[in-house]
Amino acid sequence: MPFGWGSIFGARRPSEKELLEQQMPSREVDLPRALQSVVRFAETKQILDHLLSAQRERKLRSLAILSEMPREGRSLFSATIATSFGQLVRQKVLVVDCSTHRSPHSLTLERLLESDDLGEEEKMDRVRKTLSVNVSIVRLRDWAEGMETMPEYEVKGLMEGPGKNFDLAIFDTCAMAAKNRNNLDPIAIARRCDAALLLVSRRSATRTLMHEIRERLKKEKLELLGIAVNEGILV
Amino acid sequence: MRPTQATSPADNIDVLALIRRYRMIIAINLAIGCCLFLGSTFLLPQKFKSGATLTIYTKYFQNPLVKDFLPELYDTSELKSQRENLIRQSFNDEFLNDLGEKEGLFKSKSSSPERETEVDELRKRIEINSLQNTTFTVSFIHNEKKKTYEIEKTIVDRVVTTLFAERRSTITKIRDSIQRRVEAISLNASGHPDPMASARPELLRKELAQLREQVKALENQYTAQHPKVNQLLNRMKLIEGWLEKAAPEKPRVYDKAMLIDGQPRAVTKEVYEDLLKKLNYLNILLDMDEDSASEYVAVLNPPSRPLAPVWPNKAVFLMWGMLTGLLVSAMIVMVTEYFERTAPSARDFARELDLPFLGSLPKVPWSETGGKPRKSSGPKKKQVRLEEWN
Repeated sequence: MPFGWGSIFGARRPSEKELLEQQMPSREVDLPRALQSVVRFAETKQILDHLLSAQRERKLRSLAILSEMPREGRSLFSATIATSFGQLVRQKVLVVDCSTHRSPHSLTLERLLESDDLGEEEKMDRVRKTLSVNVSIVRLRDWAEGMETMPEYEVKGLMEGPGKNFDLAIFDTCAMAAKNRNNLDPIAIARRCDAALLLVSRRSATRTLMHEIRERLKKEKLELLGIAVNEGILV
Repeated sequence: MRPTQATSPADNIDVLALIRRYRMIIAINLAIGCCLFLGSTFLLPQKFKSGATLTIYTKYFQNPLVKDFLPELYDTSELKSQRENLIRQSFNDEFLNDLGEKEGLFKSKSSSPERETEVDELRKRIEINSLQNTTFTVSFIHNEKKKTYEIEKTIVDRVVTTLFAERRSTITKIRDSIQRRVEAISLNASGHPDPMASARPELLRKELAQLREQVKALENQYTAQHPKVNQLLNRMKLIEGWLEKAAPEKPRVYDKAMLIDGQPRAVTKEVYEDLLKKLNYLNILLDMDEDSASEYVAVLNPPSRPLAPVWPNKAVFLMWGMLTGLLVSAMIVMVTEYFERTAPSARDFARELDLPFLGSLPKVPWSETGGKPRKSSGPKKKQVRLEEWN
């Protein structure tokens, strides 16, 4: 809730939900097409360049996108990076949806990459193509369904299975500080990936959270590629 | 971490979220503030207040019998200030000194220079507040409950007494002045300025003759400088002076009372009678005042017995405690939030962790991304993948 004189003198303040809705794109916006526009920005290409370098140097095939807080834009970042890989350098990318909790105020990978207009039979496929060039999507929980181990342990299985057909797999994880039942542990997933990338936004721009992130990274000893920022298209 | 320098930390201050986040700090500060301030009410010296309400009626300033001498006031603000002045006049240094001595309110000796300061402080403890134009509250503040009440009673008595004394003193002064004039006029009306000369001139002449004979006789034996001769000569001069003044051919000497516009005039019977009438009126007025004191000043509310201390007031202190708690909480929240929100940027954070900073996603509004709203209200069309578009 933004602070202002209006909030003191009784002007109606928009609720957090309303603010989130204001920041969210309308249901009518064609998000896959919008992402194609976003990847053409120099800022996106800069991130892509860093990742391509890392890919060359480390033989990077799987990348986990981490963030401390929910609604920091992990899905948007994952979809943008996947779209830029697929569209700008023609690499085949698999986006792995590791989320379980769907907040009404968060964008989903399905909406960002597939659009709601996909047929039901296409949605049933475990690894399915999207509206973005060279980008496919799979839900980790769906992939691990029926297996005896936890879905987090199936990262390698996924990479050795359908992942072989892709140049890069991007794991869109849950927030590290999120506390939802049945969440897939982002740290466990990141450990099983070749590298991880930490996404920060205004939500985590506090000393306390920064300290927590530092301690967490020190404790977990993750292989971090670097830090990227979501300027705030989404929360 | 600040994504960009353009984003101000103050842009997104969610007041309710802040209250929710710091609720424990706020609650603790409120509790500490309330406890400290309430606790201090038991430690601070108490002050009690006793007050009385007095009314000085407008009649006090009106004298219908002697309007000519005591002009009446009609201006309400002037009357009000006059009333307040009269009340304040009651508390002169002499009275306050006596009061302080009697009640043991002074610490210093009467001759010491500190006494003046103590008298001034005692005066400050007497509060005079006007409720209306005619009504005033006179209160006294002290740290002993019983003594406060007793002193307040003395103060109210003093005010009432002073008010009567002032009125009587004014009327008495005028009466005395008129009385003197009347006496002077009555003496001058006889035409003889010297009472002795006017009373027995023949006797004086006889005495003068005798004195002359005695002087002649003595001059045969003594010189003119002899004391006895001198004494007789002086007496002769005095009597001659009296007789000279009493001589009928001399012009009259007028008293000041008989001079009007600097010109002597004959004292008329009307003036004398008028002054005499006014003198009588004033005497009547003074007699009346003795019996009708309550018609001028009334004590509407007698001195109140102080039940609870006016200082420290628990309710006020509790409010102060809460305000202080809130202020301290606000300061803690502000400082904490400032340090929180002015955290190093993502670049600095990356440098601190010895990690590369990969960059940031562009800040683009959805409306400018080109993802225009779809027109898909009809039946679902076959999906056209982007690969096919390219």
